Amino acid sequence: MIEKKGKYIPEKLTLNLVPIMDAVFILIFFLLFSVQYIKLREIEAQAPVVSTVKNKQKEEKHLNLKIKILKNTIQIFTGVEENLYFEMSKFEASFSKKIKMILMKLRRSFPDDDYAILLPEKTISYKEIVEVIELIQILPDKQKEIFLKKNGKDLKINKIFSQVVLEPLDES
Amino acid sequence: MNLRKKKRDVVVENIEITSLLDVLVILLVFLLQNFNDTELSVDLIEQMNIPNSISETMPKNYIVVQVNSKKDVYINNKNLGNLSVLQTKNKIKKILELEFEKFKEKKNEDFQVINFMFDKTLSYYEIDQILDISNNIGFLKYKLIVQGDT
Repeated sequence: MIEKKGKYIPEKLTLNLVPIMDAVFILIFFLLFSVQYIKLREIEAQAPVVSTVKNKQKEEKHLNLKIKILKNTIQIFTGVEENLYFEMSKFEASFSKKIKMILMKLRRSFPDDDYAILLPEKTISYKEIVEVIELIQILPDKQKEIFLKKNGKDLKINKIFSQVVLEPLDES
Repeated sequence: MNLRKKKRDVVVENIEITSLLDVLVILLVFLLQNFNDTELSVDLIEQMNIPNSISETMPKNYIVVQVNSKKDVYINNKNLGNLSVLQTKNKIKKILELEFEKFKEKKNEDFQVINFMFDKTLSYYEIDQILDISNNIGFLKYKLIVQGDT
């Protein structure tokens, strides 16, 4: 305020916006170059690996989870003998919820076994394969982690089965 | 002329930039929302519709194999031809072998990792052909690139 003969006259102040405008313009150009309209994410899968199994390991009980994706159903096999554990139509209302529940139950029973082998039929679409991999990996209710009991200790897991193996098609 | 005299009298003291600033702020917010936060930068090819997913894992920069709905194969944005042609499969094999050796020589820990972008309509029969070639070369860890919701 400027005092003039005992009377206050307000001084006109103007904000200098030029530097902030420069910064905003630079930021806009930077963002324009790095803009991506599709948000890319990844899902992990693996190729089958042939390995030798020691006799001692053979004797231990393993889950050996195999999931077959057929045209109308999904079949879950367990054990070395590949016994059919569960089968469900893909068109049932609570399909994904039930499958997730079954997989969680299996994982709790075999906390050491972290892999699932996926066997899609050759006509199955990629979209469907991705959906099933999500069912196998992502924890129920989008939880970030779950603790399993292993030999009296807690085992933290981020995925139901983190290693999904994509089985090649049988050439015959 | 009188008109000229009138023009000289006009003095612009301040430019009203409030509205311009408003537009810039809106643009800034929009661009910040769509900012590419992933390491992987890839040009999506034509006729390509990748599946949606709730996965939140960010993709990383490895070799990218893309196959669109017409079964055209692209490796690192380079068109190699149609998957149904035998020559294309040989080309894929050659390029992937070269890339694999390059990664291996660099002693890169993730030399077995490969990014795949498949159109969601492709069948497992078509996908398996690509997986088979890459598997035989030594790429054992697959990263399936999908479209995230978040």
